[in-house]
Parts: sequence; C-alpha cells; structure tokens
Amino acid sequence: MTQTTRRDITANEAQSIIREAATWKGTAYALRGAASVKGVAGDCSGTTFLIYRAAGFPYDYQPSGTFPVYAQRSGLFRLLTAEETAQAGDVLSWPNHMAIYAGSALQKEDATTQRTNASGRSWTQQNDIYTATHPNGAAYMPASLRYWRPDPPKIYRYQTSAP
Amino acid sequence: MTIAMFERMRPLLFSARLVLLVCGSFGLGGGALADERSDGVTPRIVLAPQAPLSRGAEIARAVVYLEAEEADVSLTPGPSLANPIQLRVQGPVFGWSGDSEPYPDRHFPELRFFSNGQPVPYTESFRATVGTADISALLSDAKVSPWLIADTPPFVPTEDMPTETRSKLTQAGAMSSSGGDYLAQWRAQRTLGVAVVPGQTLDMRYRLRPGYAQMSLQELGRATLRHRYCLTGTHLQALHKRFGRSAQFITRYYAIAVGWEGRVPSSVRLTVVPQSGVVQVAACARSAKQAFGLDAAWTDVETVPDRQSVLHVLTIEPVAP
Repeated sequence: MTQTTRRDITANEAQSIIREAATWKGTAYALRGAASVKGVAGDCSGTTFLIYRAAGFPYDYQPSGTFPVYAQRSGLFRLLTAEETAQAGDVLSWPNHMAIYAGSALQKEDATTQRTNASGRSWTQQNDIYTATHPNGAAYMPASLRYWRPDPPKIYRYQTSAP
Repeated sequence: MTIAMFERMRPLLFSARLVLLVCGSFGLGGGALADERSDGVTPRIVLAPQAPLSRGAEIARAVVYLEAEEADVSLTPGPSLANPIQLRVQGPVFGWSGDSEPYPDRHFPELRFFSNGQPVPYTESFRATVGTADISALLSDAKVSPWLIADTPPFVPTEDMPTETRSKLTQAGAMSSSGGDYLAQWRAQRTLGVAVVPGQTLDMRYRLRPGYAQMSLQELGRATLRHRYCLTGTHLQALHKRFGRSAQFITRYYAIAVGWEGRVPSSVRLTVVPQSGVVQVAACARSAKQAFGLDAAWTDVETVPDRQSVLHVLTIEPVAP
C-alpha cells in the first residue's frame, strides 16, 4: 500500500479557485448546502465546495461546522500556522462560516466596493475575500475580511497529489 | 495575511472569547457571529425594581402573533391588578459584529409599545462598557450614539468633536483610530421602561430575529429540540413520509418573551401566519391536537412557555432541491 504524497497548491494553481469564485457573484443567499446552484442560490459551505470542485480541487461537502475536522482527517487541507501567510484560494473557516481568501488576486472590478454607512458617510472598502452572506443578506460577493466579523478565521490550504 | 497580522491590524476587534462569554450569559439567545447558523436574538422582559409590587401583578393572558418578520405580543394583566406593573424590556449586551452578522441591530430600534392601537410612552436608557468600565456618561456627554456599533465599520464621527472629548474617549478605550478614522470599541445594552396598566392590554411590536440552521431529519430528532418545541415522533414521521430520509430542512427558531421569570402567564395563545415554504410549525401546545400531521400555520392555539416565560416556536421548511 502506498501513501499518497500531497503538497500545498501553489498560488498559480489557486488562481482557478478565484476565477471560479468570481463567477458566483450575484448568486442569492439561501441555506442549501451541497444543493447550492450558481446563479440561483447558495450558502457559504455549498458555494465553497462547488467552487473548489469546479476549479479542480474536489473534497466531500462539509457544512462549516464540520469542515475543520474533515480538513484534518481527509488530508486534503492543511491548517496554516499563525506565522504563515494566506494565499489566494485558501479557505477561511469560522465555526459557522466559510469564505475564500482572494487577497490581491481579485479582478479589478471586485477589488473595491463603494459603501455608505447608516450615518450617510461614504467610504471605499478594500476587498480581499469572496463570500456568501446570510439569510436575507446580500448575494455572493467580494468583501473585506477586516470588516467581515471580529474573530479571526482559521486558514486552510488545499493539498494536491499532483507532482 | 497571517492570523497574527490579522490580530495586529484590527483595532476594532473585540475578544471573541468575551463575546461568547457575554452572549452565553444572556438567557434569550444572545449568540452572535453567525452566517450558516444563528442563535437569533430577542428582547426579554424583566420586572423593574418597584416597591411594593402591586397586588395581582401578573400577566394573565399573553397573545403572540407572528407574521413574516414581525412579532406582536399582547400582554393583559389580571383583573385584580391594583397599580401599574413597571417592566423593563431589554435587548442583549452586544458589540460590533461585522458584515457577517444577520442581526447587527441588537438594540431593537424598531420596538414600539401600543395600547388600544395608540402609542404608549416609554423610557429609554443604555449602558455602554469597555471591559469593566462604564462609559455611558462619557458617550452621553460627547453626544455619541451608543448604537454606532450596529453599523459597519462603526465609525465615530469626530469632525465636530472637541479635542478634549476625543482624548477622553480614546483614553477610555471607547474608540480607536484607524487610518484617520475612529472606530467604536464599546459594548452596549438598550433598556426600555414601560408600564402595564390595570385594565389595559400592552402590545409590544418588533422585528423578529430568529435563530436558524440547516438540519437533517436525524438532527431534528435531537432530544433538546423534541423537548423545547414538543416535537414528536409523529411530526418527524410526517416529514419523513413526505420528504424522505435524506431530506434537509431549514429550521427557524423563535424565542418570544411573554412575561418575566418565575411568573408565567396563565394563558399564552399563539398565531403563526403561514410563511412561504414552511411545512411545519412546532411549539408546546396545551392540547395534543397540534401534534399530528404537518401544520404550516397555527391559529390562536393555547401554548405553554418555559419557566422563564419564554415561548419557543420552531418552523421547518424543506431545502429546495
């Protein structure tokens, strides 16, 4: 029996994840899990799963609550240490949410979002993630990790068996 | 970006551990930071300090009407009530929670009171803290809204603020500077004071912020859900028969305060107007009649709240194929 040797996907390989994520923009939010459909409706775990599959990095569907355990057991993802730098395509994992880190790999039209606060103040948001939102929330979109939520995510990188 | 960098770059971040600790201590679903799952949030009712408590001070009848995203809770005192009952209606203690939070406005700014269709006057107060320090007076003196924390980013307008005030707020840790902006760092709780008057029904109206999760039939059968919403094997079998064993369901759970802890109203009637997609409503009913089959709506059903006078209602909707 031979053991599969795996390695981190490279930033170059991960570009397909970002390209695929960009095509999910505008997909309405709905709790659908693996039954999410591009352009129709989806949630965070479903969109991440389908984006990875379409980009050529498949894994078994996991809701965000079980993803960390699956990532460890399957060997398909590696948890980055606190000292490591995220690269585009990495999975950002919170107890109830998943998103895709894009960093500066976002396409130009997705790099910033013009926003207006409740107080009427306008400002420019620098985006660095692609994410689904929540029920009754916005459609799948580029967003800012800094303003997404207060707690930092765990960061996972896909492990490929390609040479 | 690394996690360490993430921590350094975020002056507006609160300790996630503190968030969880505080939310956990709030009895009515103060959970935050949820996208695929939420504990929801609801206002609670507490008896205001008053002496002596009026004879007959209890809610004899509560009527709960849930339609779409709105709740209407009518509280009628017993006929023997001699003097008004002073109540406090409180949201949870909360801080800035970011774009991911479905319910960032946890102070219930839309909550209103009515009696016979007319607005009822109420008092309003808040308590804002940074760590253990109370900064309520500091915010009031600075004319800064405590509810800036419901917005993202929680910008604090400092353009017209005296330098001394800005310094005081910064030194208190109430706000931090970030690239020329100031961001709110406090946590706050809003309290409304209102009276239940003898012989009158008090209506409380607000927007529902239900908890939600996607669940399998197996997860729906968990003991805690069965107990809290009086889900029975009959409910689950009906779902199984119609949707199959592998079906997934969107569950929404509502916690509606209908009184205060230790004084449960003797009658609590519930109406749930049908919502698109919902195939089952579950709550603990006084009669077993509601336990059979699939009911997408309830009309004026006598229900049983928990000992904290909170009525728990669950709705179940199959995930679209």
